[in-house]
Amino acid sequence: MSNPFEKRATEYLRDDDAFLAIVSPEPVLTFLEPFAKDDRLYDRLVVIRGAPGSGKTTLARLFMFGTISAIIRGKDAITHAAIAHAVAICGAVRDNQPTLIGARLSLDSEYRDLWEFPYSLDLRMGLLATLVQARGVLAWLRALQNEKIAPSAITIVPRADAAAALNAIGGTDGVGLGQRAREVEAAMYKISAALVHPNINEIEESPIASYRPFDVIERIEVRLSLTETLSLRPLLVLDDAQMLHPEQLVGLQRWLARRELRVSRWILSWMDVISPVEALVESRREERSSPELPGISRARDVTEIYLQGGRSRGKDRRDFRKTARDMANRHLQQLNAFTNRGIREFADLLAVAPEPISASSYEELKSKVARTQRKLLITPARREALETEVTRYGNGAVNADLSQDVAMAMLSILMHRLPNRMPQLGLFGQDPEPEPKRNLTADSGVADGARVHLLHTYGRTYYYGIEDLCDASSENAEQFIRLAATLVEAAATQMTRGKIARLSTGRQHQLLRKRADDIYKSWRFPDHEGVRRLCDKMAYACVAKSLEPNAPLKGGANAFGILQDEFDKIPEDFIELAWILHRGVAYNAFTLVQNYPCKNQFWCLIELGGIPSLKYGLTLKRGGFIESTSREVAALSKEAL
Amino acid sequence: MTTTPRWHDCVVHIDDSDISNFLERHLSHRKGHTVFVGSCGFDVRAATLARRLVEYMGPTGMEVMFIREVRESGNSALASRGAATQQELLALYPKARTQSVRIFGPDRAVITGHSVAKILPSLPIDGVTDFVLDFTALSVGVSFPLVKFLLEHADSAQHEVNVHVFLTQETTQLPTVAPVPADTALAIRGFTGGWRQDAMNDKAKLWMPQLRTNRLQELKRIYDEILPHDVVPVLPFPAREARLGDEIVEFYRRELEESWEVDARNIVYAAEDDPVDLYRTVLQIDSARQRVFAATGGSTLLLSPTGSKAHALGTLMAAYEREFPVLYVECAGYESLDSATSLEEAVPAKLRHLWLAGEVYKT
Repeated sequence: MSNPFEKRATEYLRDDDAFLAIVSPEPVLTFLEPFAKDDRLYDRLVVIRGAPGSGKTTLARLFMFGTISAIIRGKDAITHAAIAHAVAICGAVRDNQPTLIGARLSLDSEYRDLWEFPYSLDLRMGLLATLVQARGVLAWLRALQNEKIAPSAITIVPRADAAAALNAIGGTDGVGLGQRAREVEAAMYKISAALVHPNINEIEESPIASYRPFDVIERIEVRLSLTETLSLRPLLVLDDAQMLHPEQLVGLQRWLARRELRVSRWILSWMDVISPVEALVESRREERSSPELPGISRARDVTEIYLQGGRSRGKDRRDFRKTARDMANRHLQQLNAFTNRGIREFADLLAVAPEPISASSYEELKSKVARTQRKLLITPARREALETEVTRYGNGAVNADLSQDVAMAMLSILMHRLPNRMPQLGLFGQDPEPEPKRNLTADSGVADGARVHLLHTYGRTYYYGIEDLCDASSENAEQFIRLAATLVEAAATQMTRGKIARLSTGRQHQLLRKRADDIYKSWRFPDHEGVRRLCDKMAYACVAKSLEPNAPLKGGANAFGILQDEFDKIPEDFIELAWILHRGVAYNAFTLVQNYPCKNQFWCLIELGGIPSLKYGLTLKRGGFIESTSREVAALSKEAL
Repeated sequence: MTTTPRWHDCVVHIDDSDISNFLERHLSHRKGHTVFVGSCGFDVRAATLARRLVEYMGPTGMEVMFIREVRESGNSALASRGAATQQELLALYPKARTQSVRIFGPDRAVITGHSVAKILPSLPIDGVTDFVLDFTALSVGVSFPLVKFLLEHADSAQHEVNVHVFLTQETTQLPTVAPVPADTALAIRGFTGGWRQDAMNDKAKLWMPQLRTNRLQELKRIYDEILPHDVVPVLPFPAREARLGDEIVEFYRRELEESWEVDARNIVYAAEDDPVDLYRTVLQIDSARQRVFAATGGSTLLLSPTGSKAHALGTLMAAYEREFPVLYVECAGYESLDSATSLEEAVPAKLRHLWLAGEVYKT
């Protein structure tokens, strides 16, 4: 069975229809629609940031001319209807016609290479701008050519004040524009590909001087027939901007933030764009003028869109769950093996009835709780009160996993919390059974803590269901698909053996943990050893904390917290740690949660990602962290287990 | 294309006696002006040719330059081995120069090509009759532009310039170190082949990765960068281990069957230790494709030297001749898998000499 869950996103890049069949419109509605409504998507620089695999390129691809043309052609197909609606809301389609001519450039190493030439800063930035513009024009022309529109049918509408510059860019017709752009590209290639750096005179005498089509082009018009002309707004998407040198990126943003440019321009990059300094500090998004972009007000001149961490974390998580479900359903609907059996919803493959621990383990747990009661001198009446509290919670909780083993483990946690709640006894005249200073409450945190205890002590099922799958994905589409793939494969195998497709919770738990372990072991990227060391050490400490008998952090810890002021200094004080965190965030080993308020202070949480959390058996709920320092975390990243 | 490939009759010395003969008659007795360029990294094979050459040329009979590749990886075991190798080489050639080539910039971007470009002016050129390059222990990001520079110089020089490339054979896949791949795939400097130019979009792209095990991440990154129309993987055969090809196929089974959709008839075999075999095969495939795709925009081969060093050299030769793009993933560092085993203990050193330019090709 060819499993679409196993295909990587790049493999869909050629076939628009195959791409549209599996892509979810939710990210368009979540991330772009609000800005489209405020008319901030096309008239100024847009910077879209997210971790690798978060869906930036997929999102931008929906606005490419070829994709929009495919959407319009197939607008009546069920698979395309939601997407058609989403891009229309964002102004990319009007009256069944595209309004944009979108093209994408990947800012790969060739652009970064320009930074290494031994020329002045201005010249190097000029070379970058020239190459981007030449490639941009060629990309638009090619996008039209791919839709069978000849260059002779294309003209540009120049800005009113730019007519004088038309010659330098090849005139207004598509043929001349294309020819000039190819000349410039060839001249740039000669410079960039030379083994030995060309002399500066060679550059100044080359045909690339004064080539500035972005200063000229306002619209691109396509003559569809003698009577019909399509007027399109050019949109250029500059992907993988994190590949540029930090100063290049600043210069690029400064150039493209100029409001007099009429071409629409989007920059896509990782969250941790620039250097570790920028990665760790800049990601605190305040409404301010950037010191790197004098005269540019980010709020006014730049639309910044964060695919992760841009809004409340709870909202991020809920929105991702929605997107992920939709994505999973669309992928599943590509598999005849399932649709032939009427299975069209991914969640239908996942049972949600939890599997309690075995009877013998339960007896052992009961004995343990009894010993705890004796050790902590808890009277039968007190125990009964605690059991009543657990029952009260159970009666009120909706869809909660509260079988008797969880209830017993919750009781154990409450018992261990009791001593801390009891008033100190004096020597004389005391009530032999004083009331606790504060009532002990059984809540979802205690229940989660109980389940984590049972996971580690008795191997109880913990990870199952669509929500856990989403939460284990660190809000990363690619990671979600990779984890989901293992469940789909197992479900398909069950069907071929004549069983029902639905996977038991135990099986889901086992598969997810194995898959996470495999992914963890397969990490191979720069600094992966340091990232893995830090993950391992953090995870061990988090497990130990999570298994404390009174579950002080409810479901447990899955993060280390460093005071924000101290964290801000990591790039200066611990540069190697800065790089490890930079890579770890890029590859979803960690998430950074900055300015997290707790105990009247602000912390930066280094939260373990879904993969290490699954591997080590940590809660997927947020907020539990171990207090630490930069020095301590730096030391952890150096020590082997 | 009907012209005879440049290295169709490449002068190659494999036997120990032939190599000795060549070193004695051509380099030692002829008293030309010889420059030897080698590596002084952790790979102990870096010293194999150096030890051999000093027997014929003496410690001062050539100008010597050793290249040290600088990475951030901080593997102390390998750094120690590198220091030991450098010490040995400098003891053999006390007047040798060492040039550092930084592989990564401060922002950890790959700058190998530019770093090599910076040291090229320091390479002695004037009056040099023979360049001897030890291809073995230099990484492809360094060796490829170096060889290209020497060949271009030889092709344009007023006097006869000979370019000799030596390989110390590795005829098994040695598991002592594993490279850690960098984040991205890119073209080797001097071997971009215009692959990003607009005109390339009209061509049918065929990717020919040379396969060896444990290179999955690199190959995935290169594939994602290229998105070729077809993939023709290269397997080493004949090889010292007869079943090596089968092991490699098994390792990449999922990619071959699903991601790359390789037809079983489209797998190419090239002798593990013979660069010329791969060179000829690549050119034959290109010639055939040019005829097929002439009417539909043309064809281009994209090569990836991800296999043995011999295959890498064959790739270089083909790419130099026909300007194919060569895509690779730079190595961010190395993990030492087995510090107890030295490479020399694992495999007997065997030299191979390819005479790539100079008087033997005078017509």
